[in-house]
Amino acid sequence: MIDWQALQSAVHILAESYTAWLLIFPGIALGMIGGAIPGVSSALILAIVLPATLWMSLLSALIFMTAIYTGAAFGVAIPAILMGVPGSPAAVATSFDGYPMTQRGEHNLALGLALAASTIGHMGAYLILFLGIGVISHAVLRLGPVEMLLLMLWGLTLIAVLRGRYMSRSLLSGLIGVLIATIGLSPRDVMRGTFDVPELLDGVPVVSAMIGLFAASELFNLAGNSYLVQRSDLRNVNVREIARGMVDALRYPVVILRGLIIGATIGGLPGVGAAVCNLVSYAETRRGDKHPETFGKGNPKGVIAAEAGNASSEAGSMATLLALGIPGGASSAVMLAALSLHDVTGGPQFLDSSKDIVYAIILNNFVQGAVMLVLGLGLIGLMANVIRIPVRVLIPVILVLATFGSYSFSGNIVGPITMVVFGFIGWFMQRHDYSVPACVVGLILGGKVEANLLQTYQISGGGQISYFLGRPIALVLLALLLFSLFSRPIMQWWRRQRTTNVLTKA
Amino acid sequence: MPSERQHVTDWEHVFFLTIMLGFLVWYLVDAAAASPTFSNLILIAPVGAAAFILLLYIGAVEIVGRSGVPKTSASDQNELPAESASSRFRAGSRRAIALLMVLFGLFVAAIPYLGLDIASFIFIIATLWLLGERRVIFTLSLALGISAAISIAALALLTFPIPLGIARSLWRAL
Amino acid sequence: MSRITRHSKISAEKVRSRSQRPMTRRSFLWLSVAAASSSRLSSMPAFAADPWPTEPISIIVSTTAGGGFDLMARSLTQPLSSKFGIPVNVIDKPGGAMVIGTKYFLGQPHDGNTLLVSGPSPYWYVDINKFHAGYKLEDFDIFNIQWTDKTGIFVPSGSSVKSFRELVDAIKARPGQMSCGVVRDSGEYFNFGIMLDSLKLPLSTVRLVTYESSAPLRTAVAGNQLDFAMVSLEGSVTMLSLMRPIAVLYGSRASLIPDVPTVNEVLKPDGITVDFVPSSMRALIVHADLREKYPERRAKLFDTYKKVLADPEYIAKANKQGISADWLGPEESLAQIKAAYAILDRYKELLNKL
Repeated sequence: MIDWQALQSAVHILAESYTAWLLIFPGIALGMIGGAIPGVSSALILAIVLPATLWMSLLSALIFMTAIYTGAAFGVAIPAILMGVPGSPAAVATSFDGYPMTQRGEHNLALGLALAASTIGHMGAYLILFLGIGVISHAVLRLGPVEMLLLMLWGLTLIAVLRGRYMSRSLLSGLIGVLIATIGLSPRDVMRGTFDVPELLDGVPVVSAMIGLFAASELFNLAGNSYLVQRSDLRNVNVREIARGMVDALRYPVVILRGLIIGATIGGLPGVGAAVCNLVSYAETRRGDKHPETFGKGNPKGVIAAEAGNASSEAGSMATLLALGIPGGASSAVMLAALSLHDVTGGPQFLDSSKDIVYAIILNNFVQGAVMLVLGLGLIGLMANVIRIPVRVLIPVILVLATFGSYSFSGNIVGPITMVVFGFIGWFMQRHDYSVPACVVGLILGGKVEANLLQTYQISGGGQISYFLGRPIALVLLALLLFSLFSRPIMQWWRRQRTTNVLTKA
Repeated sequence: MPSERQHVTDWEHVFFLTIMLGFLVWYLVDAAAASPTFSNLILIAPVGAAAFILLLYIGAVEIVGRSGVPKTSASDQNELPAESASSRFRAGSRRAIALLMVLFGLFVAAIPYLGLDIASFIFIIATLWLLGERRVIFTLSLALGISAAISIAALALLTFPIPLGIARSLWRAL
Repeated sequence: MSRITRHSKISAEKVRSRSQRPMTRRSFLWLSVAAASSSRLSSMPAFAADPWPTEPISIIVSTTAGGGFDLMARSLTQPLSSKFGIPVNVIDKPGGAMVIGTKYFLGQPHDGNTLLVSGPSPYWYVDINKFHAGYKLEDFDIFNIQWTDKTGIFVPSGSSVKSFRELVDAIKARPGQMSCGVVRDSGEYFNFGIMLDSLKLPLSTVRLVTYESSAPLRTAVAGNQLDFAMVSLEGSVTMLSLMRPIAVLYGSRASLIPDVPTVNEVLKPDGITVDFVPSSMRALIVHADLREKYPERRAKLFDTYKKVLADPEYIAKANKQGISADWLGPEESLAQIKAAYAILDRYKELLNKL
């Protein structure tokens, strides 16, 4: 399983130059700060530094770029927790419980939990990668459109879980989110809802919509408050408390492990990014919990699950990148472009011939995890001071930065316009108790559900059962899906039946 | 929950629902017109239909009211506490919120004309004032600082041009 | 020394030497790109007598950073920049299946300071005929198609189908059962229709599965999800151990996989000859009215570009990155595009086959 020779060689490569390692610090810092600006994604940051990496040696470029990736993966959680505005869809679920914790004055704890979960998830996933990169990539290949569809549907069921007071309203939010996600070119290139505007051909920019829904609506609400944290005695940044939060996370090993496995496995599937892993990990933890109703109100497990899922998905997409040469999303595409300029192409041949470089990448990430713990603590300590800034200053600054982020994401004014429109929509939704997270889930997953649904239809020759019967993995996934959906209600119903019977008998 | 309370229709909610209905109908018609085939509508049709039904249901409940059926314990388990969303909106801040939204919309609309730098500058000043900040020097420096930072980031880092009012010429001159 | 140790040692050495000598020739190319992109650079004009160009030149790329078009554009920046004496930048404007970038280019001043790298075939064909892009071929002056990518038919490496002939037999033997993957509305999609048509088979004979881009399509083939696929050749070479090419859909064989026959070679005994379209044609383009408005500028751009493509150093650097440096010239390029359009016209209804 482990190629010891390659491992030795990898250590040699890494020990090459000590100066290259200095790049970890600016890399992680850049990633964290960039990720903390809503709308600025790791793909953007990587694309910006891409020209600079060409001047560097392979080792330096590697360290620098993966450091940015890792830093950004965590950075997006910071505004999610402190302001309820995820830096990117990868931290959506983190905000569900992170922000309520901030509002209660538990922001230090939440940040600590997130950092620890993120780091452990990150390193744990790379450990899995180390042990079984070949296995993971082959497993990835086994999943076809049916399996992917079931996976996406599994994610969609989260909508039912994310509701406010009214199930019907949240369902509607989710469904509308799915519909909006289908605007633009269909998987068969049919233009829908585009008004013949070319900028809409690629659909509504999801990141901008998400920022609008969360940020704008949240910030509009805040207009009446003076500070994010109402009680002034709780309005402090306490590094020791953050550290305590980090240690606290260790009390929930199962939650972390679950997130880790989810991210490391499905995170590798092309098109399944940190956003999906983040949501699915959260959903599964909530579903399996004894008190699911405490989620969404500041349950630490929610933050841990979300961040573990998010962080470990990086390892998953690296696995696919290196073993198959296939980028999983925008950030890995840029990473691949950068690496290919140093002759690191990924792919099965590459995996065979340059295992040592692969190991070097993995080992490097272990080191990064360790550095993140310390550096992250320091940076969070700095950035958390945001809560001491009065809201009236925060609002304009965040709105302007988010507009900049949206613009850079979409490359034109469509991003900011989307943000404004969805800001209004989000505000209305909050007023009438429609679940904004449900809508975001629909938005994120809608397009993928449709694409996989259509492919399933095509590949099965129009829905012929024989195709499905020949795919055992799909059947297993379907069983799991049904089980996780219905096992709890059925058990409750069963239990109630028994108590009623007992009562009537008495 | 007692069922004797009089149901008051929230017309703002109905208004919101009407807009959603409008969007839904328009989109379904547009998609079907673009291509009334199975492969185009494979997801849109069922989702649209379900959304349509839900919309009507919610609308009906809002207008007519629910007859007070006591909920069973099973569904109570997953409910949030009684604090409703609207209690978060204190009456006084509603005007501030509305103005803020309008300002934000104007800001984004102004970007292609004034440039991101000038528009941000004005927006930050206007918003700070709206939200109660009265320190003049602080306001001006913050507005200048943020617009400058964004302009620099846009000019030095991004690979595509962003509309900028004066920043680009300033940049070239330096 | 075991094979593995030797392998690893070589890799380590490769890396070590690279770190001691960070500037490979390719890195130098990019270093200059980065340097040239800074608008702070002041340099002496190479053509001292002629004042133009005085401003930086931009090359618009209508796809995303890191893709083939982008790489091709970037490879040209340094040579053009050093010959003109002014910075040459690449601006990526992806979106709307190339419509956004191409329209953006048309919206720039038609003064020779903005160039375009885009795909007239098949992408523009789809943009014009399906997406109502609003522009036409006549709005552009195509200097040269520098890089053409061909379509290949691939099967999973474990497939029992070993040749194109066997594939055709299998399709005929099991109508409506075999699945084929293509990227939607791509050159390969058209080639799929063309191929079935030439074999006198209806489209329904094969289950067509559409993908949004080639990466997931390749994954699907590699994972044995599909019976076969039609994919562009270039990006597939890293995965040859998992997906096997059995035919090339073009007039001639591909240098990347020289042992793989073309469809026409296989079908020759049956008396069938098929005209396929390439997967993509990547060209350098200027505004059509540049010829009248600024003829000297156009001439300068043209001659300089031609010189760059004739330079053996450029050719070597580009080929090392997998970029072609073909010179067809404007007339031949336009002819090839029009020929491709003619073929696409015959199969226009494929665009709306949904």
